[in-house]
Amino acid sequence: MSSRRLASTIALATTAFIAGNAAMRDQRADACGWSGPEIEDLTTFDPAVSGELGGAGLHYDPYVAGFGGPCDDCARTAMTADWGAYFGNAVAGADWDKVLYGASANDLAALRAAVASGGKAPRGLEALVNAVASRTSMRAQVVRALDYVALARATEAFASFDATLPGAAELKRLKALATVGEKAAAKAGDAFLAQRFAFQQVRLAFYARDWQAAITAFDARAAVLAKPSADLAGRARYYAAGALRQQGDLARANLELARVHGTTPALAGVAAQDFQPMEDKDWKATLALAKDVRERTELWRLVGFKLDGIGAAQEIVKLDPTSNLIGLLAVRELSRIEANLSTQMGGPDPATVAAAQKAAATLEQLTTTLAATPGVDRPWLLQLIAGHLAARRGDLKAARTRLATAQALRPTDAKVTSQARASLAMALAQSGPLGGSLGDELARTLTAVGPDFGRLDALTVEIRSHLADVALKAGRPVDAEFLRPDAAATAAQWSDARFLKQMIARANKNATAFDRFVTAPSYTRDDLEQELALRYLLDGKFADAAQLFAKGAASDTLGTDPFIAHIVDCHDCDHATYANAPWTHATMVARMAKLVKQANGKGQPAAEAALELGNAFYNVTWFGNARVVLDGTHQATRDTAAAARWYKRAYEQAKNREFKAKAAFFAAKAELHGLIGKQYQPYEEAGVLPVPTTWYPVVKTFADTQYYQDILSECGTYAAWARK
Amino acid sequence: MAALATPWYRSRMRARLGRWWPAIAVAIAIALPACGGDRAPTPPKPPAHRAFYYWRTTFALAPAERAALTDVHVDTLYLRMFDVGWADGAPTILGPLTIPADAAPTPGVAIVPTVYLTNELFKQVPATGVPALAALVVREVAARTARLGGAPRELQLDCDWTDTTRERYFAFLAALRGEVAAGTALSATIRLHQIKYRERTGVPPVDRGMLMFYNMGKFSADPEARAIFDERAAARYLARLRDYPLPLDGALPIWSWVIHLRDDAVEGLMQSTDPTELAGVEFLRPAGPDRFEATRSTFLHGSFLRAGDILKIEVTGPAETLTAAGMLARHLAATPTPRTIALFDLSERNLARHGTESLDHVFQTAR
Repeated sequence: MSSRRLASTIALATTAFIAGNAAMRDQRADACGWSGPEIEDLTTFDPAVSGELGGAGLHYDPYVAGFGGPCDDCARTAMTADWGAYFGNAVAGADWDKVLYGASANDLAALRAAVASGGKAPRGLEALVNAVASRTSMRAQVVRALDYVALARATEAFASFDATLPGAAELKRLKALATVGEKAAAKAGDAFLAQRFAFQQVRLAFYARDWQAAITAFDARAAVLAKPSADLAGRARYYAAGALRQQGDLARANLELARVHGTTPALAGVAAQDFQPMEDKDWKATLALAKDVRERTELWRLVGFKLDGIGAAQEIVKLDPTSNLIGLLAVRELSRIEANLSTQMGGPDPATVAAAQKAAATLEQLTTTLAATPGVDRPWLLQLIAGHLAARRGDLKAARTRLATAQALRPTDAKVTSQARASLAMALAQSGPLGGSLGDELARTLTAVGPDFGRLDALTVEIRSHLADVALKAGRPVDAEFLRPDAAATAAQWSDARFLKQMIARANKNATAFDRFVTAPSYTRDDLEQELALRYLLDGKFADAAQLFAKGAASDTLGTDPFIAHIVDCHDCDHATYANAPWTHATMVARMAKLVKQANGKGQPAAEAALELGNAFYNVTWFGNARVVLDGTHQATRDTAAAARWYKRAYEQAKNREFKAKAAFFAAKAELHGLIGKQYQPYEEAGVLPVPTTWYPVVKTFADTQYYQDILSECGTYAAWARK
Repeated sequence: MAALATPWYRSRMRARLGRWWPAIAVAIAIALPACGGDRAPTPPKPPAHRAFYYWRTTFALAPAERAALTDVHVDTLYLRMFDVGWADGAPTILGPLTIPADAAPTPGVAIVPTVYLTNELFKQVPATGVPALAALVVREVAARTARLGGAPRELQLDCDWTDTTRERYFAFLAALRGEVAAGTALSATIRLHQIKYRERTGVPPVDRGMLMFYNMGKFSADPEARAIFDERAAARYLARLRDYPLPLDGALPIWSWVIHLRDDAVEGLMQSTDPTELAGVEFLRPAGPDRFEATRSTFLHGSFLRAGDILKIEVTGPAETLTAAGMLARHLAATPTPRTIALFDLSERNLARHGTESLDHVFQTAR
């Protein structure tokens, strides 16, 4: 039986169910192209603490389809393991795999003959014949196994997605195969082959689309089908469930699917997908068919996985409050609630928040009550969940009590300890404005959460973001900016040297654990001092800027000449041409300090200094060749006003007409980019260029200069305007 | 009649709300200055073609449905053939219509095959894949219409396209033109937001548009909120109807549905639930006007109801449909050929609620 064929066999039964089913919750929301947050980013309770192997689907994850699956290679793995156990060391797994997956029908016939009577083995299958040759006692066993493989291979030919009734010839062939199988089963000789032959009987009836016969084949052979292979038992049950569904027996079909889900991990996902009660009547019948409370709780748990975890958990509690099927549901629901409350992606809408808060209240009540019930499963898990929910709503007292209880019940479990600390940190953050010992406790608690805690990043972001909001409301934008960089302070604040000084002062404040928590993974003093120096540069306070650079504010090589300008700007060309220029932040500021003294004088020297200053101020904006000066800081700007002012002074002081033309044109460029900066968003291409109405006409008065001719030949924009 | 990719935290509910969501998602809040309104009497219009949409996945007309086609003088049936979505990196046919071997023809009623295409499809399909997509749609439609007795006069495409998918969708429509048999008209469904924001969403290159005059409100737990047809919301769209550059047919709602609420939030939409049956359901009790509360946790038509959940009924009755018909009639521009008025959708339940006489009145009003 080829693995591809086997997969199709499984898929067929699945398809038989899927047809007509309604769309399910928890299916993947976006098949591809998604780059948003993962569930790990949205939740702060680590589901791994439960100790259950959730895997794909069982832990809540809105982006993963399935409820315990899928498992592409499970069928082959299980089959290899089954046969390996059956043959022991007598037949190498690789040799038998060739039989299972590679041998043709003719090969199988020749192989059987070779094994039975010592004939010649088909090419590539000699090893099996040789292995058996030395163990004559095994010959009969291997012959029977080969008969089984031949039957399975023949059956596989009928495995198809087409659910229509086969033709008469096909039905005849299926019937003949069933007869062959029945006879072979009678001589199976051991439980292993008996189970497999019985499995083929179920399949043959299923592919004949004789649903009742498939159900009967399953029921009549229930004991034989049950062992030794648990995987095969589950697969047989899955076929039976498919036949029941086709037969219209929804009640029992759903029960069998729940059994498959509970006993056969490889099929758990598809069984859960197919599980779909429709009406009160069939659901009641399903519950009535369940053989005991355990099965009824398993049924409800499947409802919980697929449809409503809290509702299902409530029903399980009614049936058996000590059930071990409640914990995972409660963890899933907690994750769902947290995901719906997450503030990422702009936050949920108010209706979603309100619903999530109500769900949280219901879950907290459920877990709190249950945790106090004698004999309950994993009370520490319930206490953790209840504690975490109390933490999220800011009830520090209740959170402390429950989390401490959880830890006391599970003192050596590192995961429980980490989760309890994480939840306590959340409780402290949510409990109100932090100060004094509570703030320090938060910092210490968060630090003590183990690095292997699966939600550490989300927890840190959530807590810091929440505290940033609190700080903002309390009028402490500096703290807020440290807690949530680039999201709390405004552009106006970053453009204010006083705010920058406050930030530097805050960076230096590290007396308490909470102080360090606020500032530790955020802005550094060096970053901030460079920002302040650059602010001074933009404000024209060159001496203050120079002083900060002299004291050690970060000053880097610029890789360009910030005092050069051209008719047509070319950022990359200038970086290439002046890559080895010596300019740094500090030397640039020093040069500007010198120039400003000269520019404030009179005449042509003042004009030349002013032009250089204009170039420097122009070049540090987004439009110039030295945007690197401010790049990556909050001082980065598109504002060319300072450049325009210095160009104007250069124009006014100039005595040389060619120079005057140049100053006027540079002033026009600064004016143009000032207008672009106002009309278009950063990185937005300016569709229609605005016209610098102040300076373009001035430039035109220099039509008699060479520089004007240069402008016309190099600058199409200006030339087009001038032609009008 | 469409689905739309949505942000993660709203996608779960929307996934369950299914094809009804998108037209609602664009819920338009800005009122245009009132204009239009009652006008001077105009010359009598020619009678419109009368049509129903058939939107189930198996084509099997119940006797009452057959009778209604005759009694209400319906001459056109818009028959959903399949959806086309994007899966595993390729256009994929979804939910194809099953046509039983014994499906009886509908004498005197022209079948207009209708294909729903997801907006996601046009986000994903490359420009080079558009011709093949057009060929696929025509081939799949032809395979089904052949079993229903011949070549259709019209093919209708239903897609809630947006400004980001318009180029690809319109290219697809243009490619379809080369694939369909000569003389086959192409029509496209037009949603209200596409009328209002036509400069952004464009006008599809087809022969006619089918204005979907419904799905104009928000799903909400609010007892007053109406998602199918809301007269006040409808009025906001009317101003730009008359000068829409395509001849417009009109689709009017006659359906009802049940909205499943939990914790005052919408949990899902129960489209297959007949509002009139709720009063007789043993595990539901009245909880105010048009509301029922689940008394225990169980299933109803495949939906899981938790004890305490609320089912909110939204009925489009004869009065609402007639109001919609009147509004459309006053604002749709005249067309060179008779327009088609279609009712969404044909089902025994909807027929029973509206009645033949009322439906006839709707058709007369909306022509």
